Amino acid sequence: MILKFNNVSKTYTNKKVVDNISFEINKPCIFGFLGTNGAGKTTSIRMLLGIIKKDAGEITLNGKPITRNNTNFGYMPEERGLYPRITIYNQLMYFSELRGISKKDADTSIKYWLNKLNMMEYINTEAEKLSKGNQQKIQFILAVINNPDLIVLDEPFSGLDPVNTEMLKNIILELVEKDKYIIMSSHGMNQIEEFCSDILILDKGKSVLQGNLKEIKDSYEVKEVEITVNENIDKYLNELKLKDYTNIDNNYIIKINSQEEGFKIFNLLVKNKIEIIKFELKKPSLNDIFIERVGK
Amino acid sequence: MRDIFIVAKFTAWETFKKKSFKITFIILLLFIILAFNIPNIVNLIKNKTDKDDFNETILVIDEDDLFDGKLETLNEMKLGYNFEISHKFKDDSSLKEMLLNDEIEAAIHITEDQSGIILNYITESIGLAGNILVDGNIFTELYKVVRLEKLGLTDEEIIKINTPINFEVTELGDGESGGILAIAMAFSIVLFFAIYYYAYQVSSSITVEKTSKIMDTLVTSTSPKSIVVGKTLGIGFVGLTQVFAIILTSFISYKLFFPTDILTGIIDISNINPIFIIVTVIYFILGYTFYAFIYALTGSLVSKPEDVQQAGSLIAVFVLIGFYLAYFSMMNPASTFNTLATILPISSPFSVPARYITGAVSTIDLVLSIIILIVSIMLVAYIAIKIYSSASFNYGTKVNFKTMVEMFKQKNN
Repeated sequence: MILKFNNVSKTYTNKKVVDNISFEINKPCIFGFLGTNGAGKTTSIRMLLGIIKKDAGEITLNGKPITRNNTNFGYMPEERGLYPRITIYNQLMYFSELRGISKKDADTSIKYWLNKLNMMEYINTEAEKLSKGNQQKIQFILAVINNPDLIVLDEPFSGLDPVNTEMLKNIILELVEKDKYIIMSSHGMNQIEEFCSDILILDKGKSVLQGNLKEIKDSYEVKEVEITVNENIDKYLNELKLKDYTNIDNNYIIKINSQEEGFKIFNLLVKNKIEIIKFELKKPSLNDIFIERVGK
Repeated sequence: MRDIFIVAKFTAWETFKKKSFKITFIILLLFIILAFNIPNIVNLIKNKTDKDDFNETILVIDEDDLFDGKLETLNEMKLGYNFEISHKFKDDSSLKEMLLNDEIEAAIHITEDQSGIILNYITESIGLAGNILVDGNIFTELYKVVRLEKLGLTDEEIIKINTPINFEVTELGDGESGGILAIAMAFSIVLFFAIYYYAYQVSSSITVEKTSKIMDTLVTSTSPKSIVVGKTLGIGFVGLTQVFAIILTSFISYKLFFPTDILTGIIDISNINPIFIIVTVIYFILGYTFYAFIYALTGSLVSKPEDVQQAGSLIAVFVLIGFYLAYFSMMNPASTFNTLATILPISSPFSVPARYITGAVSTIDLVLSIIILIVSIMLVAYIAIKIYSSASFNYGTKVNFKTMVEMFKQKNN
């Protein structure tokens, strides 16, 4: 299965909200879709899911345009919502039927997912009586109830406690193992770094960075070195004329200009028989890269 | 088509299941049964009162026997009181004592002077409502008989004089309107409320989806067309079921409880034939669908429940204009408003069935009106679905006419 975005654009009232975006997902993975608020993520997702039409370009799955009828997809929108006074079972059944699942299969799927997310006890509870986190879990079930091949998750972890976040992470990883294509939009850069093999960063509708996350990070020079020692090493850093650093309880974060500069520090400390507990040459995090690209 | 059916079924079923719906519906049906029993209740109270009142006495004092003994006929008239006729004068203090002791409810003192007969009604107090137990006209009529007899007229001649003139109306139009105007008006009002109420429910239903932020999930599950049409069908089905239940309850209550003689000369039920019922149902469905699509549009334009009424108020103005156009056309069958009321889709659902029963709508007018209404529904549905697709994702921006036009122009699936 190959999902392709090819020169896709969308304009609202003379404002180009998505400007010539292209990317490709050709294997089951979690694709990170990043951008500041209003960068064009939701519009891109809505075009991908066929809710709104694009003005230009092509969005295809295996070479065919994506429509509601020919693609089995699931969507967990950023705007969380359930019917407040309808039971969980009834609304899950309603959406299952709308997605073409038979009542019998829907019943099996509903019970499977409710059990998996420890929500079985709420099967006949009205949605408004659930906590925010539990409502979010139901939203997630809505996205996967029809066993979709393509799943779009917009901020899937926001509002979840650590236990439920961990549970959801494991389920998402299981879905990738089951050959699902997942597009995940999140402001949590740690989660994107943890999950995504490929990313795309949008800024004002334009793609400002995209590709394999590891390759992107590798393309950046080492900017910092983190050293943990048992004693103060200020005099050695001064000797190397390094002034831009922080020291908290002998844990140093030192700005450097190159990898070689980092090794110089290491060698000097070894030469002076300083016991090194930790030494790490640090490349910029995704968060740093994101801020560098869109924070200007 | 399958999705439309699923949305319709879900909408209807969830509406039927609502506790508030069940309670209001049961109260409405009970109210209808009660309404048809009002004449019986009134009679029951009246009979009870009549029984009690026959024990009450009104003293009539005719010292000079001016009524020639005819006052005894008052008791034969069964006016609800026992009339005690006296030819002896009683002063105010003795009458007051009788009133205070509840021996009598009131007294009527008959005297004569140069101007004629004087009736003096004596009571303890007439109260704020000015309640007088006996109609003075009865005495006037009775005295007329006394005078006519004195003139030497026979009983037969007296009856002839007293017989009122018959006033008859002949209509030379296509149908009769007088006897059935009340039914026409009643149907028009019922249609107005039913169409308005159920169409408004479509708006509420869509706003609930918008405010509960389920739109994104919904539109990725099915098309806007399926949602709008499905909702309209679902609530329409609820409406039809309710209207059918109301008509059935009314019919059974009418047959079981209602004293039919009470309507004689006011309403002629015999004019309600199957064709009229079919025409009414057709216009209910079409009228509801027309307004439901308009309300679907307003429902998709608002983001907060408190804005629903404000958005709906503009549509309410159209509904009211439509209703009053229908109303005036019924009140004045010869007016040029009639053609307008028949053709305009905002008024034809309220106007045509009511005017049809009076025979004021020709078959050509009827067919033309239905065609115009169907075309209008298709047009409104097209616009509503188009705007709904864009408006359903609008969660903050206030929508004005310009933004609506822009939404209409947007490309959506």
